[in-house]
Amino acid sequence: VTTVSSGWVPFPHQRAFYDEFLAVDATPHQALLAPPGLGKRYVAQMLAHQSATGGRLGQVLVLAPGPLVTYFAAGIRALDPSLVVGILDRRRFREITASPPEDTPFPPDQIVVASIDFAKKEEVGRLLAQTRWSLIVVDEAHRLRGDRQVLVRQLADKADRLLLLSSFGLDAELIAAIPQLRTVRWSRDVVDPKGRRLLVDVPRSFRVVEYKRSDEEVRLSRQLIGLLDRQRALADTRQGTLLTEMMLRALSSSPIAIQEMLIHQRVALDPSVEENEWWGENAPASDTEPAFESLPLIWPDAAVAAAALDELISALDELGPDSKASALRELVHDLTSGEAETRFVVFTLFANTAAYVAEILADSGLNVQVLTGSMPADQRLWAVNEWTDSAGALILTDGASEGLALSSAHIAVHYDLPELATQMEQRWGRLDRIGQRETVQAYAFRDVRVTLESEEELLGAHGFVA
Amino acid sequence: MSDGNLIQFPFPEEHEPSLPPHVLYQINDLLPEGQQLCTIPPTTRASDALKVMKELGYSQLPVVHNLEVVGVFSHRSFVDGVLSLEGENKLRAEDLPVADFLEQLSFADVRTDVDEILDRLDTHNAVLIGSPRALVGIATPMDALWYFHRLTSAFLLLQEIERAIRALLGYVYSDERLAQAVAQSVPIRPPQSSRTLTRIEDLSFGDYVQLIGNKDTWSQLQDVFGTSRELVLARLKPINQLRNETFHFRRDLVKDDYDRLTSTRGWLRLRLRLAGAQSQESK
Repeated sequence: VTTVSSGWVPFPHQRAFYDEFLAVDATPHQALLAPPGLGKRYVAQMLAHQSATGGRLGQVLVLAPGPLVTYFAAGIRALDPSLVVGILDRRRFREITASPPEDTPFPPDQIVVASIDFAKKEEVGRLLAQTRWSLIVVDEAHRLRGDRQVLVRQLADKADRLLLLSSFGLDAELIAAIPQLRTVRWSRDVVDPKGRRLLVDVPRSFRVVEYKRSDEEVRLSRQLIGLLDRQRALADTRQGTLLTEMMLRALSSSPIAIQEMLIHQRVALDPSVEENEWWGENAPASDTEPAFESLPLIWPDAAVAAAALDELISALDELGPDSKASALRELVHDLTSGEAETRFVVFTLFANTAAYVAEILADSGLNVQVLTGSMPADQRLWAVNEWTDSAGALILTDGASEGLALSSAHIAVHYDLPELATQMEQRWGRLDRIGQRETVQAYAFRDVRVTLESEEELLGAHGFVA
Repeated sequence: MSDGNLIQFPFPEEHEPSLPPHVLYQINDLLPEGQQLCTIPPTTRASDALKVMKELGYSQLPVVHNLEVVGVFSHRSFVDGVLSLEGENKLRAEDLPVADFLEQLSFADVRTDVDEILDRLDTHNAVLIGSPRALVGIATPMDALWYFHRLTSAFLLLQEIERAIRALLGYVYSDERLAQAVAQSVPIRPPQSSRTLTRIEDLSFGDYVQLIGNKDTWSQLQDVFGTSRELVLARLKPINQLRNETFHFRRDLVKDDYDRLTSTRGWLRLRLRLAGAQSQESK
């Protein structure tokens, strides 16, 4: 019987997997696929902890998407503050490379956590491959394609145990390449020790909040779309298309989101104040936002574009009431009237929209907490705890929401809808998880004038309209 | 077996304080994130090495023999070498192996203080980082320049933002009117009770946010900041937080933070331009 330390009291499905994984005759390579909210990351953190401290396995490597690295490390430290959890980044890599060859790069009593995209760099992968890992955990394993997959396949060959975690299916090539991969699937039917279902099949309700964009807002939107269309005709590259799509999504999100993107474009056009004057090629690395967002578009005539951008940016400052924000105010008023302790989450696509929504809601005297991907893990956890204790609104971007258990609320306001079904499922998984007993209510916004067709398409794609 | 219970993350203050990753600035901080080391064997023809240097935009290449750095081939070492050649060798210098043009640069450990290599960068234009058998990188004066820029740019951006806000407030308020608006908006905190906030320069960034965020005084500020108070606050409150984190050295800013600073600075530039034009018109 294995020892489960640190006060962790597992549910049966977690305990079963934990024990089976650590069994002497266990299949060395395993995948744990489970819907969000069943605590698979907890099990992985416990296995990492047990492997590093229990003398069963030994050296542990955790590979996670960049934004989850500090979060994963904080989770393991929370289990056992005395445990050394080292984050392998470029700085640490250089220290290791410069150390005498007789030094062990990764001490056995330390858990190493690295961003998968950093680890896949040739020289880093080579270093990692020099160590015989007792356990390798790969979080968000459905993202393993291309170079990421090559790295994991190489490391798997030399690892005693491999654990792939995902809420979704794995790439077929990866499955074929890892011999005897045992896949464990947790369904929504998992039970507690008394046989009661942990994930109660709570209903999910879809509600649409309708509003009507003003003539001024529609005119401004058309003006921007016209400008982007002219740019697209000139630079029909993938990057240009992606960037213009992103700008339309920012336009749909909030005045500040689109204004900020336009400012990036405007600054890049100004010969005296080029955006890269600050960084050039030396910009600090970021895993939280796609790099193309701040890339400059190619305009047919820079002077004309600069004037058009100036006009749009100032027009956004002078825009009358924001009809979407007004609809949010009304919705929140309805949700909270008569309920002193109403707790709900608001999902946004952009960090600046989150800050903007916070201002809108704080104005109503509501307790508001904001989480964004660039916040350090401890600040994020503090904000969630504050919100859990005092109710109100928790406003968060998708990058900040990964791994959070927010089942103390049952209302999700999608101020912006995500593009992908997997992102939407992640959002559901924050609330519809162990402990949820209420109908999970999802609200999305619909402009009845259909100013932006993409908004309408997303409402259909995520089940808000037929 | 128990009923099962997922553990909760502790509050941050319950965490054991963890040591910061580093306290003093080291050469390790100076090396660019994406530096790709390129080395060549001593038998490489000088012309081939020069082509590689041109292609990669490098000024020098470490020369490695039997897994050990034996010297550096650089523009300078090539020129010095050519000058010292005699007779026909001078004419065919580019066909000679780089082994004939090596210079010796000093090594420094990744943990060395940045100060310690500045003289060497000045004299030799580069310092090798690591050791002959474990080369980690090459530090150049440009790396140092970018590094110091990286350290200071947040302060410069914040300074520009603060000055721009002051300038915008200056379009609206005389000292006398400012004192009234401040009295209306900015709560006096006990330690500052004797402080008289009568000039824009007396205000802290938090005071600006309070002043701009006050519904009662907002109508006075719309001309210079735009109509939406929420929009302006959504811009400035996160900047206030970044300012506190920067000036109190709480954390290193990341790219998203710099994006926010640069876009706020860009927005303020535009607002200043508009306010200036309005002011001219009214005269």
